[in-house]
Amino acid sequence: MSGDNSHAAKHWLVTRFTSLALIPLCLWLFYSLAGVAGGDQPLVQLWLKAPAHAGVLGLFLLVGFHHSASGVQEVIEDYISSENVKKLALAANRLLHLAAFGAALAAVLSLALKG
Amino acid sequence: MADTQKRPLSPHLQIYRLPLPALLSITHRMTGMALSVGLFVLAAWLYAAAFSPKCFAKFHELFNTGLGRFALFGWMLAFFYHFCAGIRHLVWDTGTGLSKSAYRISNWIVIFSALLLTAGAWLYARGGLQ
Ligand code: HEM
Repeated sequence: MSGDNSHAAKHWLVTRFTSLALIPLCLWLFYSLAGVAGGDQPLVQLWLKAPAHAGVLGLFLLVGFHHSASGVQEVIEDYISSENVKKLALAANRLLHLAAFGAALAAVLSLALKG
Repeated sequence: MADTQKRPLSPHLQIYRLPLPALLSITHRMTGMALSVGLFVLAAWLYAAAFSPKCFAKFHELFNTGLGRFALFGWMLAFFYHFCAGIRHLVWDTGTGLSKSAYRISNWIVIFSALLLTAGAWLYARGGLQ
């Protein structure tokens, strides 16, 4: 709506790239979670002890939160017409995604490195 | 009297059916939003696993209730739908499959593969296919 085409084009490209990357990452996550989701905390810790698991999960979180933030942003831009409310919603969207990503990443690091 | 009957009718919302492609498009959007919520739940679950054993136990308990299982199943269905429809989106972006006849086929491919993948993954997760 702002007429800023370079922003829209970049947004479009980011969505395509994150979508492509998420295809293998999500399949891996589902496969892994099927093994640990029903388990107790030590099992989750054991899973993330392997550096490869923690690394790929970190990558999934990075790409997944990016795709999610950019997707929700598109929905906000489509449905909220008031400029002020839109600005607030976009800021809240970004902040929430950033905070949750940070918390999740800290958790993965902590589980991977804990004794 | 005859004239009133010829007037155009506004869509009767309880009778009017959204065309299938429009229905599938809005479903892609809704499943995307549902997955975003799921991503936050995953983040909270990881956070609990690392920093709050009490909270983790609560998650564990919740996921084992009927409602918890229903939610997990719903996320799985939402994921596989979004996944299949998303792949179709990426195919469209290459300029492939944009004709009306291709749409008609790919609509059903998306629906059936999403259902099939969900059923398979659910059985696998419950130990049925291991
Ligand atoms: C962590 C998992 C995922 C989350 C949270 C998520 C979330 C979302 C959201 C909120 C949107 C915006 C919906 C819209 O604008 O209509 C979206 C769009 C999209 N998603 Fe995902 N998604 C995930 C996984 C995937 C995967 C695995 C693919 C694989 C192909 C994918 C492909 C797409 C595409 C192509 C779009 C853009 C649709 C469009 O341009 O209308 N997503 N996603």
